[in-house]
Amino acid sequence: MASPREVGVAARTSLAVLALLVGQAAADPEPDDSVIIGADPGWRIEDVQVRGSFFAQHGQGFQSQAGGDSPGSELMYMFQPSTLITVRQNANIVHQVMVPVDAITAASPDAVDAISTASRRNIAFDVDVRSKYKLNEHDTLTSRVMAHGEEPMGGGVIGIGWQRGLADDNASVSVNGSLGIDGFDDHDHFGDFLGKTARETLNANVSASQLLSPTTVVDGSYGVTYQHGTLRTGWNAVPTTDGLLTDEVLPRGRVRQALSARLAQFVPATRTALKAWYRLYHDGFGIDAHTIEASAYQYVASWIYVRGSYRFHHQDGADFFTTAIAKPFDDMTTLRTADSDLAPFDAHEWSVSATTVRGRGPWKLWSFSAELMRYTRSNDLRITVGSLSFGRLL
Amino acid sequence: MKYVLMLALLACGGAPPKTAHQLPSDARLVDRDSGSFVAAERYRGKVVVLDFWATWCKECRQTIPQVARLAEAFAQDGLVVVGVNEGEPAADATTSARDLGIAYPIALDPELVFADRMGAQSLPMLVVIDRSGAVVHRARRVDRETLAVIRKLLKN
Repeated sequence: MASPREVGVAARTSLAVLALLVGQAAADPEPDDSVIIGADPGWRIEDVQVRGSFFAQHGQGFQSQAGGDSPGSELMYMFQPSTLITVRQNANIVHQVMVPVDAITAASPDAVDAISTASRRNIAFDVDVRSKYKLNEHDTLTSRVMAHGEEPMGGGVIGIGWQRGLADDNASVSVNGSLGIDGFDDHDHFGDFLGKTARETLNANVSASQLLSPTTVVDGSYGVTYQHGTLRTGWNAVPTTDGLLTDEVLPRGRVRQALSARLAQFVPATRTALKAWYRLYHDGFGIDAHTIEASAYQYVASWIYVRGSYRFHHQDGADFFTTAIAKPFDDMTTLRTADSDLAPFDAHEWSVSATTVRGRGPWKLWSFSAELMRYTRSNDLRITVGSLSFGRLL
Repeated sequence: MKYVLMLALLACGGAPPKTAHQLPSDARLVDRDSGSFVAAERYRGKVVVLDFWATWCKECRQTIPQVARLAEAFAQDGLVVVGVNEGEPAADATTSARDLGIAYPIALDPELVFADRMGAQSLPMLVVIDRSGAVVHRARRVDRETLAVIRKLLKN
C-alpha cells in the first residue's frame, strides 16, 4: 500500500502529465476541416459550351414515301445547335444542363439506328439535366431528368444511378436505371390521324471499369431495355407484292440487350491514346448486331489533339422485315416493316476531329472543336455530319 | 524557403518515369535566391500536395486560399505543399503568386508536360502523393475527402 507521501508524489506527477497533455493539446490543436475548406461559394455557373452540327443525309428507304417512288427518298438536312451549361451547386453537387434543338428539313431517321419519323419539316428540342451528388469518398449518386418536345410528339426521361470507386479508384462499378415515356400522334401510312398514343421505355445498365496499369483501362457494360406500347412509327409504309403500300405493324413490346467491352491504352512516350470497343446486341425483333470501333487520339501540341475513329456495324434484319408483303394487306396482326433501320445491313462510319484543350495554347478560357463524320450503309443510306463547338470557362 | 520547381524534364530530354503517375525523380527545384538546382528526390518519404494553377483560372483563385490554409495547418506534420504554375513565364508566375498571397513553394511547368504526366489536364487540380511517390488522390479543390486522405498519409 502506498504511503501518503508516495500518493502525493503520484498525484502531483499525474497532474503534471495532465497539464502537459492539456498544454500540448492547446498548443497543437487538430486542424479544423471547415476552417481549411472555408465557406462554400454556393451556386455558380462553371462552364458554357455551344455546339452547332449540320447533318446531310442522302439515300432511299422503303419506309419513306418521299419522292413518289418506292423506295422513297431519305434526303434530309438537319441543323442542330446545342448548349451545355455546367452549374455547381456546392462542393459535392454539380448539374449539367443540355439544350439541343433539331431543325429538320425533311425526314427519315432522327438518328442512325433509331426509329424513323415522317417525311416532314420538324423542329425538336430537349432539356436534359444530369446531376451528380458526391455522397462520400467512394460513392456518387447520379440523376437525370429530360423533357423532349416536337410536333406532334412529347416525352421525357427520368433516371437514377449509383457509382462506387474501389481500390483507391483504380476500379469502379456503376448501376443506372431510367424510365422514358413518349406521347405522340398515331397516323397510318396515308397520314390519317388515328388518335393519341404512347410508348414507355425502361432501361437498366450495369458497368464496371478496371485500371490494369497506370496507362491501361478496361471497362465493360451490360444494358437491357424494355419498350412497350406503340413502337411503330406513323407514316411508315410497307410495299406490297402488287405494287401498293400498306401500314407497318410492329409488336407491342421489345426487349433490347447490349453487352460491350472497351480497352484503352495511353502511350506516354508519343502522347497517344488508343481505344478499341466491341458491342454485341440482340433484341426481341430478332436483330443480332455486332459493332466494333477503333479510335486513336494524338496530341500534336500540348494544347491540341486530333482524333480518328472507324466503326463497323453489322446487323441481321428484324424477323418480319420485308420489302414486298403478300396479301392480305389489311391484316393488322401480321408483323411487318420495311424500315431501313430494321433491315439487314452493314454500316461503316469514320470520323476525324481536332480539339483544343482549355487553359492551354493561346485561348486559355476558351476551347474549340471541329468534327467531320461520314456514315454509309449497305442499304443505301449516306450521312455526312460536320460539327463545330466552342466553350468558355466562367 | 523560396523554391521554384523546374519541371521541364521532358523538354530537357529527361527519361520518362516508370509510370505516368509517379512523381518524377528527375524534376528539379531552383532556389530563386541562389539559382542552384535541388533535386525533387528530396520529397521522397514525404507526403506532397501539388496544386496546379494558373493566373487566368478563376476557380484557382478560390482554391489557392484553401491550399494556403492547408499548408499552414499541416506544416508541422511535415506536409509538403507545392503550387505548380501551368504554362506561364516565370516572372508572371512569381508576380501572380505574390499577388495571390502564395507563401508555399511554387513550381513552373511551362510546357505543360508535368501536368500531362500527373493527369492534371484541367485547372484547378490538386494531386496528393504518398511517401513512396505514388499519386493517391486527385481533387478539384480542398474538400473533406482530400483532408481525410492527407491525414491518413501523414499518420502512416
